Amino acid sequence: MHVNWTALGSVFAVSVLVTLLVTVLFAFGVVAQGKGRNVVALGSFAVCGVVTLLGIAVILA
Amino acid sequence: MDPALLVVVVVATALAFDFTNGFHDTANAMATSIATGALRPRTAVALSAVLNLVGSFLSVEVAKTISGGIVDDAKITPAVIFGGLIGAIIWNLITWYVGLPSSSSHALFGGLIGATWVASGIDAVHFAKVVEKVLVPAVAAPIVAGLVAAGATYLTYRLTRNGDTKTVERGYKAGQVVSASLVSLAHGTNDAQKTMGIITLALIASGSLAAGSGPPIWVIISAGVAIALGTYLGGWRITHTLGKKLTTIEPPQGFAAQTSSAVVILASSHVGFALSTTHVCSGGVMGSGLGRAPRGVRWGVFGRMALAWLITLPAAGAVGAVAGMVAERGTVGVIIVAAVGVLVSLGIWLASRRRPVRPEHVVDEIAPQAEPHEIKVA
Repeated sequence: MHVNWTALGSVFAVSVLVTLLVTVLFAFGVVAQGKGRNVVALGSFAVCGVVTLLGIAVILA
Repeated sequence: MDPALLVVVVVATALAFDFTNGFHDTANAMATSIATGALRPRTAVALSAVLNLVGSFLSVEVAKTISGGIVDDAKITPAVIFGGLIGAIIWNLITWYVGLPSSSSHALFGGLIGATWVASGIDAVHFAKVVEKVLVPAVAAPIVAGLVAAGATYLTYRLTRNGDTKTVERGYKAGQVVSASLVSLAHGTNDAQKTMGIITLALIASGSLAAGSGPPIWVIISAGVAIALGTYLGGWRITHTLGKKLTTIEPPQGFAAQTSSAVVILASSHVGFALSTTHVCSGGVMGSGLGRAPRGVRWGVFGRMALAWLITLPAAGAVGAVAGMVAERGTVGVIIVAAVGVLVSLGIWLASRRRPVRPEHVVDEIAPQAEPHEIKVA
């Protein structure tokens, strides 16, 4: 019985990396926005968006 | 029965299953957004429907897993596939009626495996492939989604604890619109393909397509449209369970749960894992509950749900086996199975009308929670 551990491991690694990166960046953006630091907030949201789009592109490539 | 007519019946039944898959799984993407008030129910299902349609065009790996891996396409007939589909539809409707977020995918696999096993023998089922592509992801995916969502939720609350409460609430509600959209897109890349795979398998079994072929474009379009229509009609019963009963959800939790679920589903679609998006999303919701306050998770509801997860594959397999065996007997068999399928579906629908769950019911219960309030760190 064959289990593709490499594929399973890659799904786990990608999930941890992308999710934590997106949630941390988004949290920074929201907190910065609350403190009136709009440039920092916009930067965080923008990087968050880029990571999301890049993740989708890599996953679906 | 004329083989061409039988293929038409199988395609129509597969699209009917796809439709039930859509309304059964509406909750996966939208339950947490509706529960936190980030989206109005009708807006949520419309957005989800469009993105499911888009997602169905993005990948065909899962469709190939189903059409070319789980059962031997040389040993089955369209009648067997028809029996398997009826088994899957009946199980989907039963779990929808009782509001259980069980897996439409496992209902489909169970129905197909059961029907093939009984009609064509145990050798016609590729159990090694079933384990690799279905069972292992079925166990691993919700655990991964749960762990990742728990970590993401914990981090989110730690990072935002000193933030302005109203801004945090508003920001995460906006974020949830994006994360819910991602889950809908991911759902389209995985679940719409299961029907594509089944139709492709039926076309291969009837000799209309060569073995190893991918889904033709008309199959991709029709499967995408069917799941989008089902999604738009919305499965409010399951939305109610996933959005309210499992754990009380706040916008940051919903965002973390949806982001982790979307990434797990998209990554799995890429490697051809035909996993259950329902299990992944439920795992994400559970994880987000654990990440915020473990005592807030309603373990009784989770236990009931986990039981449904365990019995879905064998239960749909048993119904599929009986249906496949009868359908294999010829035209009369197919007509009997179709008649039973229609009668049972009609009975469940009529029973559901006595105790309807509509969008306004879900919103009424959610309204008090939708107001901004203090967010507590676990």
